Amino acid sequence: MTVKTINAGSTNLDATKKVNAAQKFAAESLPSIVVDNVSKFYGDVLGVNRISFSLGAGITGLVGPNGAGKSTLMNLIAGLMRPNSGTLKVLGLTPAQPEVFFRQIGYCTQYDSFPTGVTGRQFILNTLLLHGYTKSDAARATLNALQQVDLVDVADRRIEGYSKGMRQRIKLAQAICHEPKVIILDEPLNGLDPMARTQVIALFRELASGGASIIISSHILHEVELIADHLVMVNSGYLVADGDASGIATETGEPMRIYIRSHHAMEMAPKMFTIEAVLEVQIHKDDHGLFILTRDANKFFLGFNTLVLTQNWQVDAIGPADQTVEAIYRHLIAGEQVAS
Amino acid sequence: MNISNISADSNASTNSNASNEPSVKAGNNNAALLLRQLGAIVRIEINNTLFSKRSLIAYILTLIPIILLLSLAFSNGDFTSTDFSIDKTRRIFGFIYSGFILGAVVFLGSAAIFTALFRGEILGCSMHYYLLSPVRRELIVLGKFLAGLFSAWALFGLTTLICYLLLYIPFGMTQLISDMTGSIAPAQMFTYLGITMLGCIGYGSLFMATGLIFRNPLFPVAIIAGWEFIHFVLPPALKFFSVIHYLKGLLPIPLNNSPLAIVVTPPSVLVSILSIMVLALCSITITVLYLKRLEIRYTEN
Repeated sequence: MTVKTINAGSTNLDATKKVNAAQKFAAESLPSIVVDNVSKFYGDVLGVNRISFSLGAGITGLVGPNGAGKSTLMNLIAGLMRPNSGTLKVLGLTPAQPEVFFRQIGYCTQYDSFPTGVTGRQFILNTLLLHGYTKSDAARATLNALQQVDLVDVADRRIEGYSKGMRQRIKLAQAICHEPKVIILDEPLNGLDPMARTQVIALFRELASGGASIIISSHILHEVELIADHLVMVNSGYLVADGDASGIATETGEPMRIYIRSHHAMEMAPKMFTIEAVLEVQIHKDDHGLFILTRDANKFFLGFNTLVLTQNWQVDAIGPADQTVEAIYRHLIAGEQVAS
Repeated sequence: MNISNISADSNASTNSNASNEPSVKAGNNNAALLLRQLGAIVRIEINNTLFSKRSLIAYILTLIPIILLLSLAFSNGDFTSTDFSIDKTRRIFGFIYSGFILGAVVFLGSAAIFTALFRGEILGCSMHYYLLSPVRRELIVLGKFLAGLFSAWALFGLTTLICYLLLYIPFGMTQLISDMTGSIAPAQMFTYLGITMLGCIGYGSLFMATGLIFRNPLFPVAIIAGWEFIHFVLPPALKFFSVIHYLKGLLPIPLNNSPLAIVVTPPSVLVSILSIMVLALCSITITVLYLKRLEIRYTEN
């Protein structure tokens, strides 16, 4: 195991936030997006088929290989496409009422297209004016959106002159400027440098904690792992899995890796094998962390809670280790592709 | 970007939401909101139409008749001949206007401006920004059409006006002032401007629909151009399906027909105006219906 302490630390914090967010997601949120038996075909070509799920507030990662139907699904939710069958509602609304529906939605596509000749400020301002904001309100909200993505300094430059990362951020500002309740982001971290990624992820968390439902598609599984409270996996137009990472891992039988941060790590390690579901235990090189491989996360947590209480251990953090989504992906999608 | 700033800004945004939301909500379902949205669409589209690369063709078309008439006016023609009079010049202008300004500049210029209203956005992959806005589809079509009409009329109306005034170069300022203070010249000038506007309305609405419906609007535009070009030899029943037939009926100076022309009584002013308005209404309705069914795909395919 060659995990550096600094990485483990960040994983530790992320894991804590994710567990909290996932609990909040499951416990508090009512479904804001309901996809019910939705199918979309392009002539004879399958886009998505009989997909059903519902999402509440929080960050949902939409995962799948290229051509899996992620963009189709996002376009359907965003109202840019109509399903051939099934129903799709966002906060109980459908795109048949565009003047209400699109007030609740912000969509950042992965494509690098903008109205020609506009500056960053005009781009956001025009969006808000189309929403019906008065000029003064629009100017204020534009400034706010530009500040959120840190583009105030270049706001009056034409977008054509922006770098890839700046274009990505101005699209993000455009998607969130009207403070939508549902935000759909297609590969939102593409082109961003590591610093900007961290900042944008913090912004997503901020928006999600404010009650927004955020759907993020990404083919970079590590990013999804880092950001999402909830996962929707699609492959070849079908829904493969829907739930939080640990739940999916348990259901699929895929062993799950859990990271525990504690000063009692060395003491904990041998006792972990008394829990039925534990397959493997690794000690972090700083001796203050454990990586547990379990075939049933729920059973493990139950057994671990009992041990913590009886042994009076102090646990600083606990959560899925960063390879969970990748493992599930490998099990559900990549494995299937190899098989087919 | 500073994360703590984000948080502060988010709070600010939440607070500002309190001021933003009511103004939007207050305007919801009322004329003020619709007018604000319509105004925004018109403003955005006028910028796109008049101040972008795609307006180059329209500007060139606007300048051609002006340059042509200027070169004629300053050519070495014998303007002192007894055959050369202001009445005859006005008649010549009538031919230039109906054949060149109306038949070529207004037609092709409207094609360039109005087909790009939707096709330009679709080709530039920026159509979804409109479709994701909380604006009724009818309003998007109306806003784009009004912006196209304003731009087209501003350009081609200006051409009409300048060309009409250029008529007077050989006759001098005295003749110009005398005619302008009289009744004939202003009446003719406003009639030509009115016909130009009707041309922009008729052709514009048709080309706006064409630009949305057809992936390559060049072919339908060529077919419409061919139809308009041969309108004078069409049987009377078919002439009624030609825009130029109604526009020519409005010309202030009746022009001689071509020897090949099948002559029919020109429609009355009211019939001409109403026919073009009906055409525009039908085209706009078709555009709205099509836009409501339009789906945007941003897939690799």
